Amino acid sequence: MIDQSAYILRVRQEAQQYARELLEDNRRLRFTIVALESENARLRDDLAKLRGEEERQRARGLELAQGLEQAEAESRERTERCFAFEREIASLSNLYVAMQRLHGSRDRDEMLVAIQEIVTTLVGSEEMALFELGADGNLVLVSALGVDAARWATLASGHGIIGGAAASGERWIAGQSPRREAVPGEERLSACIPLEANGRVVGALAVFGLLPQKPALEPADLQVLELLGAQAGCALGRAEPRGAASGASR
Amino acid sequence: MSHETPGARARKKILIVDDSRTALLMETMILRNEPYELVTAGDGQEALEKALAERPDLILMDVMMPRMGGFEACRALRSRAETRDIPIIMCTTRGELDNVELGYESGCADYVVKPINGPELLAKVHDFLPAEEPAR
Repeated sequence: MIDQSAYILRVRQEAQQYARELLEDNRRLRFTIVALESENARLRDDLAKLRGEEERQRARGLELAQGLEQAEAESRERTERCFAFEREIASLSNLYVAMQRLHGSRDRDEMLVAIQEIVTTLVGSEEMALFELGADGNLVLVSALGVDAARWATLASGHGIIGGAAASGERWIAGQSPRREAVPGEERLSACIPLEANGRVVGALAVFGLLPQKPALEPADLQVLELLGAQAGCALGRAEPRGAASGASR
Repeated sequence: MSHETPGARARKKILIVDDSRTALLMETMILRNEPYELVTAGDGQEALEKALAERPDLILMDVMMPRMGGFEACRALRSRAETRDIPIIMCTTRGELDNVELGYESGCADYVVKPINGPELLAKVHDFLPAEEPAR
């Protein structure tokens, strides 16, 4: 009897101890759960903030990419403008040099050399013929470079491309001007520019083949040729034979 | 003809050789704003004389000239101790490969074809004579 009571008392005490321990574990686990939930909430907040930051960085990246694209487009535009300025400066330089040479001397021979040099150095052809209108209305060769002078000694005004340009007063540019009936030898013509003085045609400048490295006449070349058309006729009209020129600048 | 700003400190010197006054005027214009002293000659023979007298740092040489052409002048310059190290840029209307090879065989260092392109000429000149920064 005594053993059974002690046993029962012992079991009861152990059960109570066990229950107390379970309750303690339960209390600790509840604290742990609360702490984990709190940490979970903090991590969710952090994640939301990181996602927000990522979105802002992505937007910033897009802005930078657009800015870079715009800067590249502006850079390309500035480069193209620079090239355009360079071409314009080169063209103006050519015109200045041509004017200096045309009006740098009143000696006729020097002037004819200057015209040849302008065509060779600035335009890019070593084949040219310069004509003046004779008293009979036909064209007379006064200067030739790289072409048969005997072949081009005289040309009837109005005949062929060169004669036609002189008669009409209209320039002819290969590939740009309407086709005209050519006389033999004019197949290699690149341009023919009437020379004018005091409002009338006084001659013509014919440019034949271009230098190998020159595929075609460019706008700057046409400007030089037009200047020759407008100025060379006047200059030649004022020129004096060699030895008679006075005060000519050298 | 020599173009020099009075009072300027010693600058690199370029000798421009061409029988065409138009070409001389054109090349002088292209180089006028560069920090170089310019000297000119009208043919190969004069180029030899001026090269010995002026000791340029660079020579721009035309090919087709009276009295002495560019190739011959180039060979003559290369044969003399005083001038053999001066770089020579040939300026030619003939850009065909065989003419370019002739130029290199005669001793030129580079070439440009005519009509001369200003920026191209400046770039080649700068290759041999880099523009110096002005003293502060």
